Amino acid sequence: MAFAPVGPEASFFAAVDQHRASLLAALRGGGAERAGGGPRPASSSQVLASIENVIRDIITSLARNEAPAITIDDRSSWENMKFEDSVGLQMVSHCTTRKIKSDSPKSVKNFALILKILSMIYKLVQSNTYTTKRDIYYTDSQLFGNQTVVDSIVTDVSCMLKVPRRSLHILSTSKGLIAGNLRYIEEDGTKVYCSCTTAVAVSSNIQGIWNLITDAKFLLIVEKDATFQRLLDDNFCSRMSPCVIVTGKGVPDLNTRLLVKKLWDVFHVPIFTLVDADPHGIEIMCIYKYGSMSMSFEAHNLTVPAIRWLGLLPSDIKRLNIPKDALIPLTKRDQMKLDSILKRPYVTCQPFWRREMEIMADSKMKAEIQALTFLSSDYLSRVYLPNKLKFGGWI
Amino acid sequence: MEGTAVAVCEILKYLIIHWKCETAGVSKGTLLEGQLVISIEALNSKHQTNTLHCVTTIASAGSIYGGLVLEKFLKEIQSTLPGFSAKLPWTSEEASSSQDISGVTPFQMTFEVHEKPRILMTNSLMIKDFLHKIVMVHPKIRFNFNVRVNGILSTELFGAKNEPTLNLSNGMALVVNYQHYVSRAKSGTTEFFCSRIHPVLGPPVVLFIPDDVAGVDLLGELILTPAAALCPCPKVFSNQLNRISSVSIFLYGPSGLPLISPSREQPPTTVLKDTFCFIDWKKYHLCVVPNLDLNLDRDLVLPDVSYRVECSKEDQSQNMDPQGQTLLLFFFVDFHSGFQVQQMELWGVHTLLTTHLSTILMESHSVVQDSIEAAVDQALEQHHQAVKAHQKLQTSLSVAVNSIMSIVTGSTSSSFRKSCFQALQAADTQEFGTKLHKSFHEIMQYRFLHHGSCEVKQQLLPEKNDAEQSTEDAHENSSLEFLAGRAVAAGGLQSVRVAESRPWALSRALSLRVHADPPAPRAVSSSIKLLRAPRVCVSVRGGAGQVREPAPPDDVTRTSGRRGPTGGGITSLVRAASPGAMAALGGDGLRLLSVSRPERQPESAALGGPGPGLCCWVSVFSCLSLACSYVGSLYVWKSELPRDHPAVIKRRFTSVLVVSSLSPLCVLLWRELTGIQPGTSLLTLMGFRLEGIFPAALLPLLLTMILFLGPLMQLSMDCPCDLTDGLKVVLAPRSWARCLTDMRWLRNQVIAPLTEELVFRACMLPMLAPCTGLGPAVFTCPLFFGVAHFHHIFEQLRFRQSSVGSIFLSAAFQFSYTAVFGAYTAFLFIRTGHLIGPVLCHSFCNYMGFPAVCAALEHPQRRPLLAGYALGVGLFLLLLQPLTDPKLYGSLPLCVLLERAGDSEAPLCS
Repeated sequence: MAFAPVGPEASFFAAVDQHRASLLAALRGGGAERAGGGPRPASSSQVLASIENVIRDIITSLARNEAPAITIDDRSSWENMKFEDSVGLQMVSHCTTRKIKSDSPKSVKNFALILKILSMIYKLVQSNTYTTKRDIYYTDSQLFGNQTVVDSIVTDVSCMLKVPRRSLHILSTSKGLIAGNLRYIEEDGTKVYCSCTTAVAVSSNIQGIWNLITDAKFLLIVEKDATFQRLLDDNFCSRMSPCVIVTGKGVPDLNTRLLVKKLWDVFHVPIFTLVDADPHGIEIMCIYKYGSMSMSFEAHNLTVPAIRWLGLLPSDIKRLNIPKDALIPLTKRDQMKLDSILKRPYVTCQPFWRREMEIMADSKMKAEIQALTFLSSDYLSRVYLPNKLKFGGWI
Repeated sequence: MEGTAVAVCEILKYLIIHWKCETAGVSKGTLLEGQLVISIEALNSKHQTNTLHCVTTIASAGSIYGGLVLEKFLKEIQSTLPGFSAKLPWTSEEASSSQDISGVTPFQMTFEVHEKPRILMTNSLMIKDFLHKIVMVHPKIRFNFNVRVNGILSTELFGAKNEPTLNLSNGMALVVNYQHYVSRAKSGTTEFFCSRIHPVLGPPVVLFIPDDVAGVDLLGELILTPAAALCPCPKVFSNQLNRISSVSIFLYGPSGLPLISPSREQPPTTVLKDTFCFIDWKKYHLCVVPNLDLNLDRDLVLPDVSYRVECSKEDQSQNMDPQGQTLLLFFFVDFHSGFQVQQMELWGVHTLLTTHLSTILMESHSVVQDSIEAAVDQALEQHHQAVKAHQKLQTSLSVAVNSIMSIVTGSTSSSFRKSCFQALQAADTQEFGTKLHKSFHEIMQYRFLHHGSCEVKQQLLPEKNDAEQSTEDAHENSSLEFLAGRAVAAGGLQSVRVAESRPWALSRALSLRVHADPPAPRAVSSSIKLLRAPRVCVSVRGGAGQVREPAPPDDVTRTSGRRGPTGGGITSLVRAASPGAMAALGGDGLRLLSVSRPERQPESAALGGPGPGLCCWVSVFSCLSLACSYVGSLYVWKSELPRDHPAVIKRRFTSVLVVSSLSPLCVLLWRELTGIQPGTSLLTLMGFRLEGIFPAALLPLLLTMILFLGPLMQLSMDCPCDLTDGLKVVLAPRSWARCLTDMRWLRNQVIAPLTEELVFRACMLPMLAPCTGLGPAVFTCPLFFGVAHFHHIFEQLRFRQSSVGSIFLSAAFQFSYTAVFGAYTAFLFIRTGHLIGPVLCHSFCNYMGFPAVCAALEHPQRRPLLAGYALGVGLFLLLLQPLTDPKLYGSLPLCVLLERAGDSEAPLCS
């Protein structure tokens, strides 16, 4: 790194460093209990065996003249979620299940599709080849109808077999981007140099990444691609150097989340999020931090509870006197989403978050990150973020 | 059609039209209900050989023909049957034998004719078909058709009382049991999960009567409503690839009478013989030819017109089930008039239709075609959907089987494969594949169809089913005997069993039902409803001409039939029920028994019947249950949200509106139970009346505003804007729109006052007043109201809005406040006899809230304000009596009620 960008003076990162130290202390205090738990990457033979078990069950129930059914843990209800501050959302061990019956007109198609995808996975695992969800969809697009059907079935299968998705040999193209002070080597040996000037796509095989190197003081997750690009254009990355910036372009995909998790596990650098001050932004941040309900069965590999909320806080709106014109009133849908987030279990252990959300609910207004440009065009990168980082304005 | 058949059909038509006109005056749209008996008694003629002397009797019982003047009837019927009047001696009897059953005259008429045996046979088949057709749209009419040839009796009952129906307008209902339309499938009866047809109605079209039709002078319009259905239900049939094999058309005229024209030159169906006249069958890829091969001799309803669907060439290549589905088409032609339809007019319409239907249909050809095709489109849409669902099942099935096969065959684990093969007892992969497919297919098919079936649970008492079964058996037996023409001596006995089994079975059903239900008033009332259905057993003439004694349980029906929905019904019910049932009813039942005997004390005043103790007991219970159901309805929604959340408010609106719209039923029930005759209609009693409505709306509101003089002054002082601006804001439509969309405003200002006043004042006061008197009722009624407001506590406790002590303190305060307020509105209700006054006052008070006395004491302009308070209260007390003077509001229904009860003049009534 001959021309490593010159960052601010060392004292600038005092607050960040202090934060990092406290995180490390908490980690040490919590012990190494995180090492276990959760589905480990399963070997091919294990995956094959569990698929065979499912098929065997179906055949035996057929032989008994019963209508076969596939049992899947019900991940759509908060009743089945348990929240642990150190892990995030997890499924309770004895959760209620959902039966996909073959004898009801509503679910018979779903039943058949699950079997179809199981058979495809079986082939993939046997031949040790990989495919993408999109590819699966195109094998019989008429049968599947649309991509979301495939996505949800793949998630269901992953949950049913208790196997991470990668072990099913199904990949997804990642949409996330990463920039900043980071180098790593992919599984196939390609060396990847991230820099502050160009963004690199997040690898689709995070597990295979090795030899990660960074000097970053912090990792900033940006909700939106537009803001991410803007920060790069404004040279934020080099001015705050050394740092890493990641975006998931909206709701993060699995690979982006895996990457964030990996970076945290390897380096234990403080991770901050920069999201819109609206319910959707909060939701996205919660997915990074505590995980989502639909992927809760894999929470151990995905969640980073150490993530902090850097901006844009609803309280900042008032504090910075952002003009009313830049604000958007909450829609009905926003209100409902906010109410539902407020009821989630993890909000209780985040009193500050709760207060921010209540501020938003009271003011009935939301603001995008871009609202800061009303103050000045580069307010975000020049003033807002540096100050926040310097004085520890995260919660 | 000849002789007897024509006469019987025409007479029945006349009778039903008359009946329909009679009931239409009372209640439009209810189904005709009752029983008619047609008996033909044929004996070998002494004068001519090979000829039968037939005596036909048509009889009804009960109040069906209350208004029928026999002479007029005979004259009119003779004019419609010109061929008969010459030959026949018309006789009528005033059936003296059944005079003692009830006060009304049953109807009975007889005529005699000579017939050849073969013709009699055809005639009775025609009559049966006619009866069957009527029953299809009047399921509650029962026909008892007896034919006795030389002493051999065969009986057939027609009636579809307990069968599922589709309600049509104008007091008709179409029976949707598929068995009436197609014969029972010979193969695979297990596949029949749905026993119904699902008719879809086309849009009604007005038929124009062409000018050249003679003798038309109608003050109304003819409306055709087509209905189409596939029979059997397409979902049932979906496993055999569907094919429509025939089309059956049924024509019904006004009052749901079949349009059969006997022996006329131009039958009404000529136009329909042309298959392409109203439906473009090519659109549906059907090749239709008229079907002339109609067999009268079937157990089904005979279509007026029937088509056969020919197989097209490509269809023949596939192996098709020859017996496909039948497309049923019903044409209901009805007559609508702005005035009450007169009997003769309806009769005229009928004659017109039977002769000129073809011409009339052709006149409105295009609209008729559109409407019919709309109905057929919908019916076939069901069919296509069923096919689609079936295809979906097939695709899913093959995907599932192929996937399993690919995993099993591709597996490298031999133990896995072996266990799979073993489970299905297959030797090799191929056998495994076929077996897998087969068992999958069977299980899925069976369950899938079962789930997808459209069968709805029949809401019948099981005991009644029993009775139905026995008649069904009898029906089959007797008809078989008759058709075979065999002389079976048991035939006579059979009919006796039919006549007796039903009433007995019914009483058994009743006693069991009373036994099973808790002794709540509702259970009793539902049993009464059962009893109220006319179940008149007409005397059937035996072979020797003796009159059969009515079966013992008829006692029950007779009593309830006469007494109607009063306490007498209960008495007879309890009397008829077995002692066990009485014990089950327990003390309440016995008490009911003891009090509800109006026959014993017929001269007592309206309130005299039930003792005051029971009356109070019932009243208080009704009030309590009303209050509980009102509050309970708020809590049926399980929710975590506070009460001001719009979603909660909306949900509560629904439930509260349901409860308050049902609350008048509670009053009705109370009236039934206590037997009190209020002397006015219930609505009047509940304060819905027009007399003096303007003063009743304005004066109480004014009075309340006077009471709130102080708070109103305070409000105007604290208002930032001056009066004119304020008025502008108040009157602007935008502010009203905002109010109307604000759920809380709607609740506080509209829904809550309306429902609370309706339930707690309009329904409760009439119930309480006879029990306690007017004065105490004013003070007891608000207790229910106050208690009902206690439920806020639970909410506050749940959300912990403040400490427990303060919650209870505020609840106690609220209780007293609402109790006082309730007493005030109860007073207003009694004094004005209107509901509107209390509602407006309630709304106003909800808007004002409790007067902010503390704020007034610390107000900068304290003196004038407090003076306003005092002035308001003083003026209120002064004006309370004069402004609510009952003379301003017309006669007070509650006072009338109490006067009838023999109370001395109540102090509140003057």
